[in-house]
Amino acid sequence: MHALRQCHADRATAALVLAGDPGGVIHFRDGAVVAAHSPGAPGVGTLRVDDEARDLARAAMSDAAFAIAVGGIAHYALDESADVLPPALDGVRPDRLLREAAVRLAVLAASPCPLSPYRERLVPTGRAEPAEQWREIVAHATGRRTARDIAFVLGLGVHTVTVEIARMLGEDVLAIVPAAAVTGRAHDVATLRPRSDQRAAVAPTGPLPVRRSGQGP
Amino acid sequence: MDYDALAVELRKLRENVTGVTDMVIAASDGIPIFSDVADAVDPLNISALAAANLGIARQAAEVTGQGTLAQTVVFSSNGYMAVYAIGRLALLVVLGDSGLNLGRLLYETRPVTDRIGTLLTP
Repeated sequence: MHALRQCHADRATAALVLAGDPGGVIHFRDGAVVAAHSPGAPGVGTLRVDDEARDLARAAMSDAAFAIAVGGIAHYALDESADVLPPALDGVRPDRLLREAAVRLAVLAASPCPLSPYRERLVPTGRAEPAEQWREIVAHATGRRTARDIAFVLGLGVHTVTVEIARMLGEDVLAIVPAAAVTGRAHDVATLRPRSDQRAAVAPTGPLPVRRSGQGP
Repeated sequence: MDYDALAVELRKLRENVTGVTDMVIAASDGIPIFSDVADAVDPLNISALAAANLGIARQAAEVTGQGTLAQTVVFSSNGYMAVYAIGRLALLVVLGDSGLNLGRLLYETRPVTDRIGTLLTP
């Protein structure tokens, strides 16, 4: 994360594009981080608005930093021509953002059953009754969704949801779907055949009514 | 038709592109061939919509003289619907949530639609 510190040292006003899985973009203004976006974390527009709405932009930024850090980064580039959006909050020192991300990674690593928010898809085991605060997450664990996907559906932070799921894995409430499981279904392509067979099913109708001038309503 | 191979292609796409939620392969007249969707998504509806969407876009590409249509994307407040032509006979619909990495999707989809095209016309 040398690049982040360098942006701070250079008082950069630019977008640091981190290409990876999922990667993300960190926006700097005068060396301070004013926004962070990642496909791995719900943005301000997706996060559920609650009593802490005032800090929504800040929460989204920290969550995006975690989402970038927990995934892989292949390479990065500094885009100085990018539009840096008007800041929604006062700038944050990159050091502070990195520390927060490190704490969040440590919390996940220390949980009973750490998992990737992006890879593992989850399904209820049915063996243990989920606690009240977990029901919402369990309801969306359909076997098709990862922790990240569930966070987007619920409008909750990806870190919060991933840590809760790690706990649920530990308590046998949720299980990880085997990676080789194939989903999807084939449709009856017989309907692509010509329709001549079905012609008899259409009831014959009489001639269409004819409109005569002067008699209409 | 090798449905297992179609399933594998769709799964790879979903694993490689963050934010993809549902996918349908359909004939270009809007009849679904293979789908990997959530329970709340009706592949029949989506296929019909995608076919209409692609038809209009294809005409627009022709009328404006801008070449062969490759894809359309519907941008909504909570997500995206991207439709890719697979030759002139089929299409691929990809639904994504608001975090969908659209650039990555464009990059990853081209080889997938090529392979699906080969699978559909053996």
